[in-house]
Amino acid sequence: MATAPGQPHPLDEREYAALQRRYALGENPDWTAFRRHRSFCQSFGLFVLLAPELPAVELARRTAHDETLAAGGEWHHFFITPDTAPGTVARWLLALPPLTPESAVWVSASIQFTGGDGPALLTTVWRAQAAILNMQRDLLRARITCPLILAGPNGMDAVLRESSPDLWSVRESVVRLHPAPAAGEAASASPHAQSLTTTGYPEDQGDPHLTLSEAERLTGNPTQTLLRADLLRRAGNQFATRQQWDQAAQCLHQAWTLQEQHHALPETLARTALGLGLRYLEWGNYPEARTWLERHRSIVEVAYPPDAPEVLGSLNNLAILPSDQGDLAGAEPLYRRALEARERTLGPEHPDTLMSLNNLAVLLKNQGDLAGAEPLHRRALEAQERTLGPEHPDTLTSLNNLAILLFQQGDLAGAEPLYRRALEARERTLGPEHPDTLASVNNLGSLREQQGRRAEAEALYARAVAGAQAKLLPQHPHRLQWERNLARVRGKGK
Amino acid sequence: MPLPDALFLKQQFQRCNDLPLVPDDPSYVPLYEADPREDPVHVMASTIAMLEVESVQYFSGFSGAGKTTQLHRLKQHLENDGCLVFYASAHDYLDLSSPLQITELLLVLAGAFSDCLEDRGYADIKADPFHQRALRFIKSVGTDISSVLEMSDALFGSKLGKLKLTLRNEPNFRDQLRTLLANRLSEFKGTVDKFFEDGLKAIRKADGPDRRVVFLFDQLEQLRGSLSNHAAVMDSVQSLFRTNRDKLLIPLIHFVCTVPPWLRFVVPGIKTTMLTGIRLWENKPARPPRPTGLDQMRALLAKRFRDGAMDRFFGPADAHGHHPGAERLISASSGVLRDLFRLVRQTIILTINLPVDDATITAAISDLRNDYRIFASSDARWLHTVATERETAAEIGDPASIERFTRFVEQHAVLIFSNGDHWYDLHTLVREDVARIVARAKPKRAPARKKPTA
Repeated sequence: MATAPGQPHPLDEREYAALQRRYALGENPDWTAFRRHRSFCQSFGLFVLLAPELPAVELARRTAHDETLAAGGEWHHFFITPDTAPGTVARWLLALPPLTPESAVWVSASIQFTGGDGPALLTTVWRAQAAILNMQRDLLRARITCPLILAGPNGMDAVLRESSPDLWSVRESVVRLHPAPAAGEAASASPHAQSLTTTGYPEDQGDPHLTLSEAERLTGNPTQTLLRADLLRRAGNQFATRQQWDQAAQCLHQAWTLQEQHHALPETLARTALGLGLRYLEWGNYPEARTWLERHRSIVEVAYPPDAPEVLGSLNNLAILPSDQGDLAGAEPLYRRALEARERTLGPEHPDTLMSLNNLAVLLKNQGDLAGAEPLHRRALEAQERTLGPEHPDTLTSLNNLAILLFQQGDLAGAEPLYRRALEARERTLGPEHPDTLASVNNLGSLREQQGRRAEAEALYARAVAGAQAKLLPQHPHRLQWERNLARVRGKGK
Repeated sequence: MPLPDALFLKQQFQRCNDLPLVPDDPSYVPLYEADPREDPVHVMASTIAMLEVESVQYFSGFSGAGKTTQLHRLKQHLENDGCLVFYASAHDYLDLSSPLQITELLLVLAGAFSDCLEDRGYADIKADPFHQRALRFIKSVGTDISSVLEMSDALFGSKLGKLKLTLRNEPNFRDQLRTLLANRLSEFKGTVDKFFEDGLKAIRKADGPDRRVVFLFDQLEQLRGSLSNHAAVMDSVQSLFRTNRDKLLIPLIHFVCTVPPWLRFVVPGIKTTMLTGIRLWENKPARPPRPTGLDQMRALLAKRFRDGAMDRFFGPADAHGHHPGAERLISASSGVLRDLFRLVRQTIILTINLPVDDATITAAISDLRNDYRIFASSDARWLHTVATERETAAEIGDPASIERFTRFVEQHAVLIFSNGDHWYDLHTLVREDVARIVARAKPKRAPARKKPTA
């Protein structure tokens, strides 16, 4: 990669993520048209790219750089500084080696033009460069056999038009980059925008083989790599729904690798990391689950404001991990932060707030603070019953957790009706073989065992184990635990 | 040898129908192809090409603006591009004057797709078409509604295609189906998705893995109620697209659906590609004529009045090569294609001697004007605001105001135009009436009160 003096506008990760959100270049109609136009350009083509702010020029440069490399082209850039002597840009351009049409050459202003009288100075410097470019236009058109992109803030087009009229007259396109239309914004969206925001296709339903064949159809098309990665993620989730864990993991990891290599948007990366985290959790591989959920959290913490639902959701996800997976004392402030922020932003009875309340209660219980946990569990359960209904999965989770707490406190009489109610409702709403239903079966088995009703306990454990053998991986901690329970109760009987 | 006048008029009357055309039709005139930015076919086709895997697009415009013709063009364009395109019309499946719910729409979408696949001979779908699957679903969930089951047996068990007719013509069946599926939406959506998936597999099996599949569903924009249930139909459509739009995402298939032009005013965030009217005047206070639009309308007429028929019907052209009678009709049409053909056909009906005289043309225009006299004087003031400001003049968030706006858009008394930004104006015939009513109703200035002298 050839570079010349000058520095790009520095963007820290948070600013970069914010710019990506604002301009959403992957879906931005202006950028899509630019990318497509560039790909049609089989030799010299002058593109003038204008953005409302200099940081957006840098975002565009990084994105164009990545896209050029992904398409197999070479990338060359030059940053103009206040000290760049007239004619320097033209000389640098004419000294470039022969380039393939997939390559790109980029010229923009360096960081030194920001603030104060920077914009006025930039106009002066550009004017001088443009005059020489205009004189050398025929040579430039003959020597540079790929897109040449002159990028700058809005208004730079006037300078070019005036100082470089002949070169301007053969321009391929003037790209005016606008922030992407927000979801839900209809009237002002340009025609291309409408369908580029069609997200929301079901992620985990459908035939993974069909999705996979669609992803394979896109193999070899470098402009569709991120789309292929999306399809791989979808296929992975579809495999997981069918409990075909190996294929699921393979697809999800492939999706992650492609997205990381091709600088997918943080939202996309976060979605895949979360998918992997939740899948590993489902498979009982808690260390891997923690790795991916932590990764998800680190992505969303950079990409979103601290109180954004995505950030609070990531804290909540970490709370789902079993208590032996990590530092309980260290986790408590995170849970309290998530709960407090959700109470403030969503309200005290929002389902997410109540789930945070439930998670904090579980944490306290796991730390041994049973007395502190009980009122929180009861508060969450009471509100969920009232707002979500008695058979909502969240309500049943809280019901089950409260039953476990009472059981651990030795209040078997108090725990039994709750266990029974959770089991009956889960059988009815989730089906008899759902892992949550099987967990309720096992819990009731533990209660029976504790009550000394060994035969009933054995029957319940046996049912849980049979279900687990059909539904859970051999190394899944729940399956191992339930098998141990069954062996123990059978051992007692001998 | 020229045809006798009566036969000539009959021939011209038949040639001036406003049926949808395919691009190969000798009467087809390219109206939008010149500027890709305003060409809905270009916009929709390039969206499909760019998104590659799946998409949903809503296409909208006035009735009679030529949407179906443009969809035929889109179909041809996409087929030339290697896509497999299926076309179905809502009119064949639904009673478009009743409220619509998402379950019914899903039912007819899958049913229509099934019919398309069966027509093309995909064996796997012929063996298990959607109406059989729907029957199985209904039986599995509706054991307590025996009448529905009996009806379903009669429906699905016998003839192919009966689903269409029954859904369209049997309100009781629709009601019962609605009740049955009301609490089963996600399960039913699963059945529908599975059917589309199997359809896609059948296509892939027969045609190979590389073809993009596009499903065009036309004429849903004709959903409109009568005087008595206009609000109910609007509410149902609004609710459907507000809360259940995600249910219309069909994985791995590009779906294009026509929707009412007013939908984007009542469902914030929905993105539609609009087929706006042909602009006969510029968006300036004095409405100067727009030659391109006028030429397009002239070309439309010239394609219908072939082989010297223009001269024979309208009389000789003027110094600019235009026929003054035709110009009057074009102007009165306001660029609405259906109105142009209605005017011409009405003129032909009223014609006694050729060439047609001015009085006959005036009578035909009056006839159409009468159709537009549908507003109260309070509406006239509001319509006057639209004409003056070229804006919607609808209060966002005020249902009554939106309802009035959508009603007039639907009747194309208010027209939507686009050259970059959308702008609004009244149909020429409405505008003239509105101006007269507003002028008449203008309150007279009260005489100045004299100051009492001391």
